[in-house]
Amino acid sequence: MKIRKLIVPLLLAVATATLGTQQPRGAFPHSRHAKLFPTCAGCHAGILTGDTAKMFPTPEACAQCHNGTDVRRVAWSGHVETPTNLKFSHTEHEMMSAQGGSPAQCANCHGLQAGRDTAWMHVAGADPTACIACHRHQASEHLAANADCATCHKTLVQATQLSAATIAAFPKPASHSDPNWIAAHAPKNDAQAAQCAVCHARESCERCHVNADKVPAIAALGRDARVAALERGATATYFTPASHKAGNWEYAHGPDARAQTQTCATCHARTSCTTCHIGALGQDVIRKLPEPAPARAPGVLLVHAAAATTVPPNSAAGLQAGNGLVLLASARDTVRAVNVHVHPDGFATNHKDVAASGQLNCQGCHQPRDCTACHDGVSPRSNYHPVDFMSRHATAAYAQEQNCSSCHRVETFCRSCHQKSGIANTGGVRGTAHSGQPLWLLQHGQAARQGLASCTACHQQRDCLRCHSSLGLHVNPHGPDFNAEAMGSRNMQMCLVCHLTNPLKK
Amino acid sequence: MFACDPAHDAITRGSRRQGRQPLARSARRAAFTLCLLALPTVALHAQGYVIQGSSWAQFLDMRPLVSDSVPIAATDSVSTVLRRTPNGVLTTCAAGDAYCYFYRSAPRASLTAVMQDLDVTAWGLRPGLSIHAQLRGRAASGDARDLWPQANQRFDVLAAYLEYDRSAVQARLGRQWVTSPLGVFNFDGAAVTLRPLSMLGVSAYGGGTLIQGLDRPLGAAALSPVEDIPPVDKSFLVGGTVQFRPSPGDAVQVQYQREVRNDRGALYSERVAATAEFRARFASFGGDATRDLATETFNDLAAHVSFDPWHRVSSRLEYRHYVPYFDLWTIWGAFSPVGYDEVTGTLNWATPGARAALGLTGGYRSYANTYTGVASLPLRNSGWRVGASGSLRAARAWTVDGSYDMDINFGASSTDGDVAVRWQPSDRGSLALHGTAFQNIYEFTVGEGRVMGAGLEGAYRLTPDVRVVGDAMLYQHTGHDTPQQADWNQRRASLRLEWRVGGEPGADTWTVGPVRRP
Repeated sequence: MKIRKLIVPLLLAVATATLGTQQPRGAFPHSRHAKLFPTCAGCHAGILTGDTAKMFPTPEACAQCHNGTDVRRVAWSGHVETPTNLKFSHTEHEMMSAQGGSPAQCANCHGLQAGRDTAWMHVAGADPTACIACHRHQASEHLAANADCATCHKTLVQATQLSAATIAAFPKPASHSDPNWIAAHAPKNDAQAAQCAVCHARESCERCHVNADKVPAIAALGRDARVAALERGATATYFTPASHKAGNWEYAHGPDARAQTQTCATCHARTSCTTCHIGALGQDVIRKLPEPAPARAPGVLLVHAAAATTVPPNSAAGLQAGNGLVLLASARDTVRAVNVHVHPDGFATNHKDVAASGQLNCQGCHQPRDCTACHDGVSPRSNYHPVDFMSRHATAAYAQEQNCSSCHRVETFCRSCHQKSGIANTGGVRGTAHSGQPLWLLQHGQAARQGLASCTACHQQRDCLRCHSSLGLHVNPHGPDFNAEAMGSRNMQMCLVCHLTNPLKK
Repeated sequence: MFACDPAHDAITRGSRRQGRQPLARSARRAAFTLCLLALPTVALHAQGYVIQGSSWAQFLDMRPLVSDSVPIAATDSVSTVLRRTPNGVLTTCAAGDAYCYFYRSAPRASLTAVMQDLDVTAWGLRPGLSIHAQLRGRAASGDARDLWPQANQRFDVLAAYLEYDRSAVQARLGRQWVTSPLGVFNFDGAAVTLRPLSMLGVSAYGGGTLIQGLDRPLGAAALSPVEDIPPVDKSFLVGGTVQFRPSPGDAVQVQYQREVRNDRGALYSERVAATAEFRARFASFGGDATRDLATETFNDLAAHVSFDPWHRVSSRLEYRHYVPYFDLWTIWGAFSPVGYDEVTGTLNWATPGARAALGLTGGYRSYANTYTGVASLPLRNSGWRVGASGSLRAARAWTVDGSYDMDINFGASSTDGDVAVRWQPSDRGSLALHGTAFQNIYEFTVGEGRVMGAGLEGAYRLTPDVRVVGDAMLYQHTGHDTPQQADWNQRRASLRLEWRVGGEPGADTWTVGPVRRP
């Protein structure tokens, strides 16, 4: 319906423009000949009869007066047809008028309407509103969305007389400026498709529609070299459908994509999907989407943020990038950055549950190396930690907000570095690592139980055995809830590191 | 690649029986080398492949710590074991020892490390069949070369496995990883996942345990440099999971895993885990639990709810009970470590197109009773943290990012501030100026460090598949509470070249950036 509201005004505007261009024909000073010609039919008899030879006067007819003797000669070589996309027939309209009992008068359209100069022979192009006088039942105005454009206008492909410049100057119906227009512009019936065809060719749609060759309404438009020239280099424009704005869309779009693949193909080529879907998930659906091709619309392209640029860690943008947000490239030569929430903010640090539970099929979009890029513990590629984390990791290590052992083996990573850098000192009291407390010996029990993981980043087991073993000072390190049987039954060797004999044998 | 691991395992076992360990190692290396040499050949015969490489060089200049001593007579008493030198250096003195000890910064030392990562994936040999490999080479030079993690380990085969993946079954054979709530484990073995129903998945895995991030078994050979009581024998890992996914938004998984000493005489670990996630329209909630059956302790007990009522605002509230986990080949678990209960909340907001983004976070934790210590000498048993981060795209090519965090905690506290101004004229490259300032306060050590740093970072994509990244940072350690406190002045620089050959599985073509029309 909206299309019709747009197309008719558009066509009427085109008609106005076209008729306006007839004024060069009006360059013939009709008004100066007002006293000479009593009727229009004297020069334009063929207009109503359809006799093309008599539609316009010949140069010889003009020369009867403009012979250089009676009146100065004029340069008139005959009528030149004005380019137009109108298919208005004077003959048909005259016949209809005659059948209606009121024969058509030229002046009804060409100069005698209200608001115009009504003097005889003050000729002007027909006003499109005159069309509406009869076609009012369908169109409220020339560019109205419900106008039946095809009644007066040829399709753009048929209007071969129009230049590319004229096509480019077509007025834009008001409905096309509606923010929701792009989401609802698809023709819903043949009449709407016919409206589109008056101003658009197939190339108009191919600028954005990735699957233009699969859409019957687009294929029906026909190709046009003038439109192709106009569209060449134009930027594709894509909008975000309402469904995509749902909070779970990135997770839950699978069923919709499977059920309405061709709808996806309107804006998406395979590369839209394969940016994330590098695994087997959804490949049967993705294969139904068009492949990118030079002659095809680019479609909405997704680029991983990390691939497009580097993002500083320990920042909002960094966290988002780490969470898999991507950049949306929507244009031919430009990349418009739009964050797509593939994963929620903070996902880099709290994805454990969704990954482990199977709520997300990680392998659908990720290769195992995406996990090991961080979890192998020594990869330099991840920007997971802030800069100079080496100097400031102590707080994070004590707090264990993120379990360090998820990525790092404490012995081979933490302790190894601490030993080599001189921070770890084993074998006795040899430094000031615990100088911040006055009586560390009395306090280290609480510190050890609260932060044992940090202790092991420097201390080897033998450091504790000096006191906490049968060979040492027999200081019992076990807490009140210690279950010796549970541990001993699984690894007695561990018990015997401290105990000389099996402590479970009483 | 398929036969790599069984082959070298067999060789290893045979050689061990004959007491020829060096030969076994050589054979194993040879077998792996042959497999790796065959990789490119296999890849080229595959229908598709992708090889990703990352060449990375890092320069670091810093001052390590060294232990020094001073005669006890040259110090004044501060407490029972602490004494101070006349110039203010705090020392630790053991009874009966004629010397007191302290740390000081060693002369400036530098290192240059080079790492080469290579990820290979090839598929299409047979329907559902693919091969995967993750290789790493490294080298370090300079007088501080030992500071670089695993500087002596020149080459690692972190993963090398054959995968068969169809809708109802997935199987892997070779060196691989398994990630789970219990942690990340790499092993030489096999893993099978069966999906008899779309909502049900059952998997089992097992194989020889490797050290995380290294291609060496967990044993004395690898651990003796850093642990004087290493495991008495290598181990193998067995585990399984059952996954139930009644709807796309809801899933539950239960896992059991044990690590068994090779002689089967003891366990190195025996744990279970359960994870559940549920999703409603605007919210998701879930949690996980991991339990150490040996210590009868819940190492992780967490529940969270994420609320996302508007597309640009997200929030998350989480409760977590945490107790550290230790393998049974160590004595640490017998020391009855305690953990904490923590509540954290986060709130994130972003404008359309992320022109501006803001994140807030906060949390509070309280440690369990340790039944130790002295009432008059308490240590901190609670902590809290707050943080804020934001980004603003001030102009088309300019972005400003910043963050501030304060973490007051048992053991160590810190405040951190970071800011970056980024210029990105196109998607091909960017240049950023970084500034950072942070302060560490240690509960157990006198002194604190305030570090300020600044530097440049840049990236440029030479082609869609080749990118170069570099950065250079200078850190200045300012503010010492005591003389000769550790000097953390550093100079760092790195250069990384990332490249890719081939396309990802499933992608007939790989395109980065907009498609150009004629």
